[in-house]
Amino acid sequence: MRRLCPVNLARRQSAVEEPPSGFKRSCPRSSRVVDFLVLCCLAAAGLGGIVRAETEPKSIRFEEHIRPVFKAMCFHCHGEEIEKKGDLDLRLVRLMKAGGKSGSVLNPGDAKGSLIWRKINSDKMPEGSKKLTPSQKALVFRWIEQGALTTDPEPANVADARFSAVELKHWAFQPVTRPEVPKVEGYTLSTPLDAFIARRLAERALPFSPPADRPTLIRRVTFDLTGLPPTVEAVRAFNEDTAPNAYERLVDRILASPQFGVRWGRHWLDIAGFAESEGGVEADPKRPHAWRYRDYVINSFNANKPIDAFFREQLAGDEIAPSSPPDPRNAREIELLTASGFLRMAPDPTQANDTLDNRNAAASDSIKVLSTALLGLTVGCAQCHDHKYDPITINDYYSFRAIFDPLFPLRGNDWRRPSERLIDFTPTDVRAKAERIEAEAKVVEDEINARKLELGKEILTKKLADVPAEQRDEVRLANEAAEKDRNERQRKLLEDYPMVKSPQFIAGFLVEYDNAVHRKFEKESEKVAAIRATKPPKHQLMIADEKPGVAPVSAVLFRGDPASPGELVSPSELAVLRRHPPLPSLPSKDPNRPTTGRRLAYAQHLTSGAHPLTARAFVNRLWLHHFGRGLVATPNDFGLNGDRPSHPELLDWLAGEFVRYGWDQKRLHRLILLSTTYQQQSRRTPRLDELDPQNELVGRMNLRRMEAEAIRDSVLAVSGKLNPALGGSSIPVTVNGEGKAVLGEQKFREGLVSGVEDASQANAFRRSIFVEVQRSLPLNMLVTFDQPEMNPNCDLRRHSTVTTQSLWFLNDEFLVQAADDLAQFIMDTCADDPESQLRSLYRRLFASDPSSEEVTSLAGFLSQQSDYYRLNPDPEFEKRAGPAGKTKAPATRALSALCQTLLASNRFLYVD
Amino acid sequence: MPNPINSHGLCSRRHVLRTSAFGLSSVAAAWLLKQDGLLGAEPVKPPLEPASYDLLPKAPTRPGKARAMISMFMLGGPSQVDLFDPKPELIKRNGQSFPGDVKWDNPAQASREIMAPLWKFQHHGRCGMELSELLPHLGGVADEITLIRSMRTGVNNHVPSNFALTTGKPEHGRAVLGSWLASALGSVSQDLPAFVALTDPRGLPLLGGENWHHGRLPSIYQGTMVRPTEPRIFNLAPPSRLRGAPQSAQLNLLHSLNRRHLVDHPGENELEARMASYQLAARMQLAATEAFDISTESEATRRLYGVDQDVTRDYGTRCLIARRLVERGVRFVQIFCNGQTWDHHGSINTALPARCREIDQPAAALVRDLQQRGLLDSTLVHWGGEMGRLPVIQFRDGLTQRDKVGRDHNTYGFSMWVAGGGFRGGYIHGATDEFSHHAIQGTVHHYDWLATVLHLFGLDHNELRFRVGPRDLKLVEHAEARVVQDLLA
Repeated sequence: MRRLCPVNLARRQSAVEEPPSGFKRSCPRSSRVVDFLVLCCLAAAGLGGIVRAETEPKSIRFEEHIRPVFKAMCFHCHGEEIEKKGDLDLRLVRLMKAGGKSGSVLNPGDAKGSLIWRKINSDKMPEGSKKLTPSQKALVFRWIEQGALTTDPEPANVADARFSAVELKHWAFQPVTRPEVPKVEGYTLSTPLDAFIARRLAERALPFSPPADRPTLIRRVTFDLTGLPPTVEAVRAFNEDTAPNAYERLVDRILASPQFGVRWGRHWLDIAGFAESEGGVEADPKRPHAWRYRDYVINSFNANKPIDAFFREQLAGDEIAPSSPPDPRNAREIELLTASGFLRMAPDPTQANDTLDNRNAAASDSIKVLSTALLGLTVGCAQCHDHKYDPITINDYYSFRAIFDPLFPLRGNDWRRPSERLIDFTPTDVRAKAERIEAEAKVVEDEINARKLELGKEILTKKLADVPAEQRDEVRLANEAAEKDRNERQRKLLEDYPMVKSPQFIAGFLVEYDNAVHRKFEKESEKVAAIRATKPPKHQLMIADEKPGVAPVSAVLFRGDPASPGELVSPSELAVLRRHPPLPSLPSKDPNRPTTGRRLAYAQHLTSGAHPLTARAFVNRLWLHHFGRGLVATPNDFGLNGDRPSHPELLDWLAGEFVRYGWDQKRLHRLILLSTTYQQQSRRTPRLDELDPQNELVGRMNLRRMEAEAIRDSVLAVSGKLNPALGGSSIPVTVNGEGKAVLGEQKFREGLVSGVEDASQANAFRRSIFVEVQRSLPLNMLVTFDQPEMNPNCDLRRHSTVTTQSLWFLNDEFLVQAADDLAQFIMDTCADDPESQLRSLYRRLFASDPSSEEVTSLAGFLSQQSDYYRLNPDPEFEKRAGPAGKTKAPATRALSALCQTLLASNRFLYVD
Repeated sequence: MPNPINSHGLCSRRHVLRTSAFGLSSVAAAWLLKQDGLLGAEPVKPPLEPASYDLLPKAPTRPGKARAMISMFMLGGPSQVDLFDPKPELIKRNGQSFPGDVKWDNPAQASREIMAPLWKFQHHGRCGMELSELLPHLGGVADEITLIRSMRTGVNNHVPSNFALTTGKPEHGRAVLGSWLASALGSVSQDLPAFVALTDPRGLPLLGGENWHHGRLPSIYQGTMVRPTEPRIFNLAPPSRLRGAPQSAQLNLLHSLNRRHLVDHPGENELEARMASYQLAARMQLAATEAFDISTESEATRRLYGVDQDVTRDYGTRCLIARRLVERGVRFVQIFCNGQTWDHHGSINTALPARCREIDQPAAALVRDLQQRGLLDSTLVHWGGEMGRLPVIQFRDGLTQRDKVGRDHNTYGFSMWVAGGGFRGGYIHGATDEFSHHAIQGTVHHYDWLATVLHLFGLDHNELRFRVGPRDLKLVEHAEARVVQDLLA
């Protein structure tokens, strides 16, 4: 059934080099035409089959069929803006009939007699390169011929026509419902969510897939919750646990692991757009304090902080903090301020280049991040014009943005560049210590500088000695004179002896005057640097900080141009979300606090439990990361252009449960992980592929490739090198001589880069979340495996399959070293026979024992390779093994070769 | 039977199943907007995930003459005064004080004493191009090359001037020309990197990897450093102890492990794609190894490049590899010297001839060889540094040590030569003042140079942009940049 035909094989091979397009979401999205056609057939004939006849709606109505086309193609010029081209407004049928400068454009019943049809049909309209397609044209033609009908009477006020009923009725804008848990027979229901899944499976007469075996399950759940493989001890404990709730206890053990926060914190950092550089400009200056936000996120997940509080803290931590201005000596207030760093994650080029456009870019990127992260809506698309698909007008956008405008005062002097937003909360004793060390360094430095100046005087004397005797005195006097006091003759004279300069100048330029001495001084200066290096760093935070009293006037920016402010707006939730629940208007200025209080009021509204999107969006992400695909497959777009939920009632039920139980995310994880649905095996079957090829019904688990971080962390873990420490400043990334981004720092000698100082062993083996995230300099290994660039954030990771990944597994020194480490570990801890070595290896990598067939073939590989290495020794490897290991070297090498191959294998890279 | 599903989602039925829970009408509304998406007329939707990038060959915006480029980059700044830009005035005024301002970089050892060229110039070719006696082989291809005597960046130190010439602005962190060409045009060969940096056995160039860094462009467009010794490409070639039989054995084992894994995972296309990608990786290793192996070149060719002589062996080998790479579809090859080896602040009278002996024959051979193989028309060859030198003496070791003198930086007027790829052969462009200090005629600024190179590749410097995040990146940002028409054939 699923054998490959040659055509598909060819395509698949080409997909190896261009996999990104192969896995792009846009293709399946545009296949709705197929869906629709097939659907019609399904409706008529039951199931399956191929449909060829094209079908079109019989009765064409404006709101449903024509308006979406016009909204995307025409409203921008003919409707949205106050100045309408040709005075023509196409938003209502009656306005088309009334027409504009060229008279009526619509003559119902007579397409050819309608100007709008003639303009569209001849491609005179719309202007620009995008035209209506033949089928869109045909639709417009038939609509006019049928009499240009509407579904409902048109509103009297054109302003009420901004949104159509279809848009307003869109599922995501409706309140979260409280669906009954369905009653389903014949399925093993472990948690209520299984019933929702089972019901849809039952419609297709599909069963749940059989439960995964224990090795698969423990590997799956450990990766899901920690991003690491299970330890051998954990596997043993699970296998030996005969209690009926062994799996439940396993889940609880892993949920309690501090590595849980690393994994789930990483998911949140993706959508928050966590980065440790400013971005936006080439120089990409660093944000050396951003790691505190990363730790806040990890700690919050580990502490199972209720998600509503987590959201509120990030939106308005500074306004929640009880003191005002917040007190940086108070640990809780520091936490709240750290959380507010969420609003400062977006790229901000104003440090290097503080222009109006860059300020606006920083503001709009922040809106993009927070709206996709919290609402699952592409609000940012309404920045220049009304949203093309969703009922979000440009006015809505700027009203929404006005909530955050006090953080982004575009005009005037209230804008603060990133360095000006830092707050310093260095404890007094730390500060005192730093000052003491600085003073110490200064003493040494001053002494060196004094000697340099002395030397400058000596060199000057020598340089003057080079000047012919008859001019010497005159040159000396000219040089001693202050520059502004020199006369023309003195200036000329000094030009002829350009090396004659003041002692201070010479002291600062020793590298050119006397390089040997300069080097000695450089060496001495290292002492100063060494003293300074012991200074404890400042404790600083980048926070969302409203300047008390700053509440910029908020206005619609005409076509998104910050230089063209127009209509004034006041802070508000998006109109389409204001209806359910009705939102009390947000304050422009809360009289009871120094800041405006807008963000706090909004955060409270967002987490009231009644907001239609907050809980749904979060629950959907949780599902996405457990199953590899969300209930809504477009986690950042719940709008009209996004995908519809596969299980709308389940989504609402989960969202409702989540809120009802205090936004407790660990409870939600448990609910999902303990379900029958989650515990299914991942194997495809012909029947499942036939009826549900994309596994939308979740009749099995999805096979998933590890993300970049999980690959690196897992390799370190199984090779026994992983340093599981949490928190602290990031492990720096730098470019080495080959242009490769590696862990380490630039070494400087004599002011010039002299190479790379590799990260210390302890640091080099930390988990990937602690690797510095410079937007322009991602660690090579991570970017090879699709770690996204934060521009401004990442909502859904892609998983490519490219040759550079294969080359990494085959040849990269990191992996070869890890394989050596793993082999050495096995040699050191196992009996000296292939079977126990292979068993130990398989348990570490795959949480299971090798089959006897595998033992036979792999033992064969080991003995073959040992023989080969015995005849072809590698001097370097043997040298490292030392005299004791020399006899074992061929066997260790063979084992290392096997380890590397197993690490490169699909079985390791994919999680069932 | 054909597989009904593929990763491109061209025939996906999952949407049917999903949408069936909603009435027909909402599907119909979606259908209206979506169905023409297949025809490509749907408004572009906001990206749902990071854009993906590739190195597949792409057509330029209009036909361009150049399809590949080899740049021999002479970091440090070869002295145009002694190599390319003869000035009788300097001979006449040798030893006299320079009239007017001198733009020194290093005042500590500066002087105003004019130093005439230390070597004689001779006329070459039908065009009568005057070149230094240090470059006899280059004289042999004078009619093929274009000598530009009026280069200018105006930023008088190595790092900023290097960046100006290669990235368009004297700033850190921008993408270099090779990355731009790789992003705009991809590579003809998918088995070899699109952009290759060939480094010197004596060390990396000043700034190392920044010379082939992708800047803010996606990292896939970064140059691949080819080391002068094995392993030549990082991660492309296996570590020495895995080379050959050991890695073949690993690949065989990997394939059988993955095949067995696939049996348990029927229909998982991605697993098969990954298996195929290992085969492709193995092919790449072979392709690169083959491209770097000059042993198959004829004796005559190897002699032409000077591979048979000690002094020219290394540079000749790298020039020959560059030609082999371009032949095999690589877009951009840059050959680097170590450090800033042309930076002759002192001892120029011995150091400059030594450098010239190493590169003169191989560089000229590259032009001749490309021409003989019919590749010169489509291959843009460039030879030059980031600066030239001053016409006055720099006293490295005091005014009395006259055998150790050199010349200081000059980015205001310097020379470089180009050939092929649509440049006009046997032509001398522009001029400096009578002392070879400032370009005064036909000045080619760094941005003009880049605009002209892009033009020859069929790219417009005003239109060449790359969107990263919300903003466009550009190689050439100067509004006054222009294509230097006189340079074109």
